[in-house]
Amino acid sequence: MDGGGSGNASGGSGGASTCCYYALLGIRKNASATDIRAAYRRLAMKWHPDRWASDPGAAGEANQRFQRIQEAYSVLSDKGKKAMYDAGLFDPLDDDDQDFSDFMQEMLVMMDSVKNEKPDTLEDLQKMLEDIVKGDGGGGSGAGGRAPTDGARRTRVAPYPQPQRARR
Amino acid sequence: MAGKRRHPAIGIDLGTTYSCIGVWQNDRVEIIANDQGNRTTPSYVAFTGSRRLIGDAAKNQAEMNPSNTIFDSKRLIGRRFSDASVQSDIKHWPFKVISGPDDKPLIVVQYRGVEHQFAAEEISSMVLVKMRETAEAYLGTTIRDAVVTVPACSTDLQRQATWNAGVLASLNVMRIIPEPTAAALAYGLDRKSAQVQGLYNVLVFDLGGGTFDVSVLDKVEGVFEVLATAGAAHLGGEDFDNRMVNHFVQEFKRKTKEDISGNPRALRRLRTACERAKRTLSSTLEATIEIDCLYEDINFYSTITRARFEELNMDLFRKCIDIVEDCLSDAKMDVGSVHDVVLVGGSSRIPKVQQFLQELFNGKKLFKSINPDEAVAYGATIQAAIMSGEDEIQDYLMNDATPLSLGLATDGGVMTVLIPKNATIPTRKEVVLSTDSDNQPCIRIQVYEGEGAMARDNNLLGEFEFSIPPAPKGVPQITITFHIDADCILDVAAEDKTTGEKMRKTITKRFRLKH
Repeated sequence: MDGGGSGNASGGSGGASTCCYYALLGIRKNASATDIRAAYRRLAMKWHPDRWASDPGAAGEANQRFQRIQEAYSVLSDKGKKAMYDAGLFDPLDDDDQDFSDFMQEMLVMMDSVKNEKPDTLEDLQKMLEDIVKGDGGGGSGAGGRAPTDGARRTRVAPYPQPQRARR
Repeated sequence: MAGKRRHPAIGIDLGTTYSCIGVWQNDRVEIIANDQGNRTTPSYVAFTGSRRLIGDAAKNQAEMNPSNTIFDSKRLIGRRFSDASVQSDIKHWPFKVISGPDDKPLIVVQYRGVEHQFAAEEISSMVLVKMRETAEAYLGTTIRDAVVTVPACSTDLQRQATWNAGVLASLNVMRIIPEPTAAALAYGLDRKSAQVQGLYNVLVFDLGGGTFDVSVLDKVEGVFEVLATAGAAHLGGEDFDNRMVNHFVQEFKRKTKEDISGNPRALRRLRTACERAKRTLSSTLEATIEIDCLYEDINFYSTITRARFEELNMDLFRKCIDIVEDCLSDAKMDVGSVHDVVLVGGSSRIPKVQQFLQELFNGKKLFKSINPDEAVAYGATIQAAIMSGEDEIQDYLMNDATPLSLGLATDGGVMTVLIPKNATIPTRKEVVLSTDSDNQPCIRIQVYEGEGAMARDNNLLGEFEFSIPPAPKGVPQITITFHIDADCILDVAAEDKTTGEKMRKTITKRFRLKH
């Protein structure tokens, strides 16, 4: 990790039915950005569906594997998302909230600039992140508009009331 | 992995002004010459009283038959008649374009004495037929499988229409790939870049006859990935020719008091002479224009210097450089990080363009080892070989990227992006939506493509409605999944986790030939 935290303990699963991203890419948790990228490209070379275009049966599975590899890489190659993932706070359904990811990037930059201070333990860092996430939950801050009653961040569809319910 | 196919696969650069074809043979790319011995073929189709002409023959008779000689069909493909760019283009073309059903532009010609109307993809398919026949004549066998290229900033409709043109030409289009990535793939096999270990950054500068594309890619472990793409749909050799044509129309007017700007035949002859002069000016400092009987019985003789040509087009050349800078900025890369600058497209030969580019990159030597007119077809052929399982090509792979952002209309018409521009494909993305009103009976899923912040500023790709049981607003949890496969085919699925109801729609469609 680039920040002052000690080590890179696993944050656990990044989402439902998603195994550890590090295991998916075949890398250690302390892998550098260069190692992460090289690992991803090697696996892309192996699993990209173009490699299997002449074997349609295998292409389907290759397609799925490639997408999982790509998802793992898209998270681990982004400093903000990686920090959240390592802290066990990454939710794939919300990772399009670029504002929060940008905020994490800025925080990491700030942490770098004061790295001469005594490094925080991972537990301290995790608690800090949990507090931040909780603070965002109730207020409906960020994208604006009303938050759903359950407090989770959701994107709402524009209202298009219909005269009667469509039936399939 | 399965063995090689029985028939070779080809790569086709379907260009706005010229097209080019390659085949993987003897463990390398062969660019195939047409029946005139030319390695590029004009993207022209002409209709006469007795027959239809394609390629060199069509272009060679354009002066005598301007209203029935069709070029630039690529500018119409996948577009609407009411598009501003189409309306602007129509003013420059000697052939007639009308609005057909669903605002589709149709080209009107006289063929064998009868009026015909053709869609742009039908014209493009005729060019593709010519390319396919060229390859078949060279190889002595039937050709079916092909990779075809499109400009990097093509919309989904444009890609679909290009695909359809391939189907009409009896091709199985294995893949549609962007021109700059095809060019990068071509250079990826060059010995020099292959020797670069670790990270290799390349900028592809593709200035063709009709469009301008810039892409920044990197290559790690043999895998190319697109980092950023930028371009202009209307910037290329034809625009430079237009400036020259306008210049000489004014000169002719000063000398003779006659205005030929409304005379299609004269303009066609002048344009042909200007294009030839432009090419000459890439290697000499002055070129002559000599046209007998340009208008009535008046001859036109003149000269133009390279400096004057550059002056006429300086703003367009600078625009190219601005777009390069934008692309580098999008890729978060500085000029010093770029290992190679690859020149593609005939207009990249213009000395002033190369000078500006070298200045931007602090004097770096520009990469020109592959003929710029052929690099795109070269790369498309490599892609075709990869997908055909050719053994000798297994060290390279192109990770393609979405050309435009994809998302949904939400919350008052805002474009909510699920898959951003330049995302690597194949990819899958989910978002959870809810309702804005109590007891809303359904939610409408509207899928858009483009970079505008409001959905209405983007292209609507498709829509459907998903029924849900009554519930207070904000309570339903509808998961929307976007899945794009390697062919850029987008599937959208909606699922209500509480009821288990699901719905799925393929947003982009393709024809697939069985064989």
